[in-house]
Amino acid sequence: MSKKIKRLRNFNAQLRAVNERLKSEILHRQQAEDNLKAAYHKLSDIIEFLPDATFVINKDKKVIAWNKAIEEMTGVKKEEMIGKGDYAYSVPFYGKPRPLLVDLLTIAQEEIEAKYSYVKREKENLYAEVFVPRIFAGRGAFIWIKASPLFDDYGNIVGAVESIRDITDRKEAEAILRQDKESFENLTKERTEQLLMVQKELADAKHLSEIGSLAATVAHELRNPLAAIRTAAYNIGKKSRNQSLISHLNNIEKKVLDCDQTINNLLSYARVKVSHFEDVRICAILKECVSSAQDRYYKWKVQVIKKCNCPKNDVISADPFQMRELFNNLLNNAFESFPEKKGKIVVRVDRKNIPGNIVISFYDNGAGISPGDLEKLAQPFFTTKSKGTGLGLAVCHQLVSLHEGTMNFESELGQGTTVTVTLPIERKL
Amino acid sequence: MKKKILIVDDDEEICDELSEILRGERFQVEAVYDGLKASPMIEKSGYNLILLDLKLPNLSGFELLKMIRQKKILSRVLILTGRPLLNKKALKELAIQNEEEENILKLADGIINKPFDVKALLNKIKELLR
Repeated sequence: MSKKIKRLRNFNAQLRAVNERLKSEILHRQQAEDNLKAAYHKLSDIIEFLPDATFVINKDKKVIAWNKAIEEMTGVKKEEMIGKGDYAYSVPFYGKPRPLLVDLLTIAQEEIEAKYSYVKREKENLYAEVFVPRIFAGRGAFIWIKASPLFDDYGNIVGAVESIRDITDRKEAEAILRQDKESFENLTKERTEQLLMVQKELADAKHLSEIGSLAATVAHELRNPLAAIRTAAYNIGKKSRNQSLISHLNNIEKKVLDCDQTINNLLSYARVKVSHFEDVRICAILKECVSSAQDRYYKWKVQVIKKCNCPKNDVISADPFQMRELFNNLLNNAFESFPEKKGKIVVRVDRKNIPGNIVISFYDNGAGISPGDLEKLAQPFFTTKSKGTGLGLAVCHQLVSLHEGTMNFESELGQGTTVTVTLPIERKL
Repeated sequence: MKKKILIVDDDEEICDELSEILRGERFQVEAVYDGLKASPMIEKSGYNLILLDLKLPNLSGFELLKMIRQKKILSRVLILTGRPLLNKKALKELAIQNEEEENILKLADGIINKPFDVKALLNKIKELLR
């Protein structure tokens, strides 16, 4: 009996000890659980008050944390989001459920990555930048996003954290900086170009002023002997009763005038950059030029028709010397277009075609200009003639542009050429 | 009575040829090649017309023209010039003619550019001497 009692007592004591152990174990576990709870709360609080908008999902992709900053950013309260899955967390950002950066941690989806302006993978973390128009109550913001996976003690993924930072201010500053840099670069480029142009103009001007002085001296020195030759030819004509001499004298006269024109072209080309505008009667100047061209080409069978559709005594603002030079050259070209020394030239002046402008056209039914030559017409020293300086049309182009006008050529080989000069009637101040 | 014309030009051949033409037109003609020598002739001889070049040795055509008008000499003056056919600005830039000279030129009865058309020159001379 006593043996039995002794065994029972023993057993009882063992049970009590087990009970004590269990009690202490329970206490211990309760403490651990409390610690864990405290830690969890601490963690929640930390997440809650992180300055960056942050949310956390578990491995089932259900939201387990949604902090204050993200509430502000999206306007969606924590209570509405906690426990939600099926990409519910993306709706405040994009208006519909879709994977976010946090979902790309485990599965790479190029399609989604392409939606970000920038995505970078660094170890297990993902970084991205994108503009989201819906957030901050529709103000929209440029955001920087970091997504990181959460691991348990054994290294298994148990969830993920996504933090989002509003970097709109920085982006704007960057854009301004970029713009400033661009405009600075453009300005530098522009100024450099201007500088190079001025340098070239200066070099041209120096070159031209040298040519100009030379040309002026040559002109002065050549006009006197030309005058003597012309006067002498006149005297021979007067004295001679021999009619056959007359044509030779006319040749001398023609060549004197050719020389004069060459001198004028050289001068104009060199000095062409200065204009002196005054009121000029274009039709009167044209009439003079036509009649002197007819004198020069008196042997040729060329019919010149002049049509002036302007009011009488109509004036435009132009440099009269330069207008003469322009018309003389264009008329010479028209005459020179007839290889057989016969043909028709029509000169027209109109001021109704383009308001504020006068249009002067020179038509000839001569040889015409090949398309290849047409492109080279404005080049100085370009000529198809065996004689001639090739300055005539280069001078014309410069004169017309000095008058802020335009000059166009229409030509067909074997059919003829029309040169159309358009000049503004008044000068812009 | 024959009208008297003085040609002032440093180009002797022009003077010769022109003198012959004008004599043929029944004018009394004299020629001088130097501006300074021309000056006293102009003052004393009472020419009806002076054909005056601008670029002359010793005294320019501008100076002579200014003197003619200042001294109220009654001769008509027709300028015969070989200067470039350019506008005022270009002439000034090339130091061919300054503003003062440009104003002096306005005192002339006409300007004809070399190489002139003889018939046009004769018409102008006859018009001035009518």
